[in-house]
Amino acid sequence: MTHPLQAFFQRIKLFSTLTGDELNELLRAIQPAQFAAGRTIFREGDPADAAYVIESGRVEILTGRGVDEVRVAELGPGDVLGELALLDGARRSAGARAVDQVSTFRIDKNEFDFLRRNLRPAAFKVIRSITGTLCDRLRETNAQIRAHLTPALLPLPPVLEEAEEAGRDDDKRKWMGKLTFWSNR
Amino acid sequence: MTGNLNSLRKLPLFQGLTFAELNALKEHLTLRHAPAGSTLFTEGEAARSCFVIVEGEIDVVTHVERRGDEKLATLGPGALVGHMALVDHRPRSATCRVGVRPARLIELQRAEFEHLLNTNSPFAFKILERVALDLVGRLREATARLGRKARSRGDRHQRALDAAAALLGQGDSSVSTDEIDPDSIEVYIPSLEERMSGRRKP
Repeated sequence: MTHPLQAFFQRIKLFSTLTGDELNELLRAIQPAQFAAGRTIFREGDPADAAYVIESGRVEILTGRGVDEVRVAELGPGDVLGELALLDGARRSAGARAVDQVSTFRIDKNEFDFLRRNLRPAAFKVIRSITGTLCDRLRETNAQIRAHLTPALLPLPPVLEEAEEAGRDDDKRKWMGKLTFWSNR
Repeated sequence: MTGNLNSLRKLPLFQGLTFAELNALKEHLTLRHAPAGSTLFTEGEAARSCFVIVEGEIDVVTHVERRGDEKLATLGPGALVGHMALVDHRPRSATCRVGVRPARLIELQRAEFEHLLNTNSPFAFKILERVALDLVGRLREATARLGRKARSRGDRHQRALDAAAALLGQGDSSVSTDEIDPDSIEVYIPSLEERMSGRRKP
């Protein structure tokens, strides 16, 4: 029997390689979960016990707590959050909160681990898919680190600007000597 | 590859594999001796294989604009090297170079690695899980590193701007030049071309 959610899940990249039967098997590990606007879905540092697929509504991803809280992303329908829980069950590296009324499908880690222990193709394909996502995120994070390592271009001090415009190379050299290269090291 | 299956099994990537599985895999593995300082692969290249470090250290290096090569990590025995480009079919994200001592590595060719990643045999399942967990670990490290960089850069950037402003006799009067060690001020002065091309942003 075809699960009523099959069509919805097949369109989500994380599950797009699963056959109908494999998806059916996975869907048995899934329960709907609703969150009212402003409700916390999980907090940074919580044990990671589930992944969520957003059916409707918006979810903000947050790092830090209290005044240090920073919103790092906003996710919407069809997006998956907390999928690393399915892999290693470590603590949440970021928190998630419902922006408006949010409807999700919750994939329980224990249920998923059962499929994994039994070497079910559905689990294999989901992990394979998460592995691809991980590469994207690692490349993206490394690119950001590289950007932070790149020396910043500060505005030219006006005194240098004037020297340069007037073609006074001596003045320019004098200031260049005082202001050494900026580095983030 | 010839050699002891038991020693192969001690490497994290191959832990949990049966002797039969290791035996089947063995013929696809090549033991490589890499001289100190030699380059395994270069950022931007297409990937042909990945490696497991048996002995020695590998430096992961990236090229940073206006600065040169920057070391991102040093990996030791047991670590997997160069698998990301095989998983996502994109160019090498960094350069890998052998450290100050010669290294011994096990090389796994692209075709065999892909076969392991895409056939869902129990054997492939184990390898895939190892690869995925390794990537999660690296992502967590990279995210933590980025967080530290982002925080320290904000401070240093502001300090340098304050210092430059104070030295030039403008800006915030609360910054006294007495407190500033001139050697500690590092300001990048863009070339005329860089400024003309509109990249003059702090």
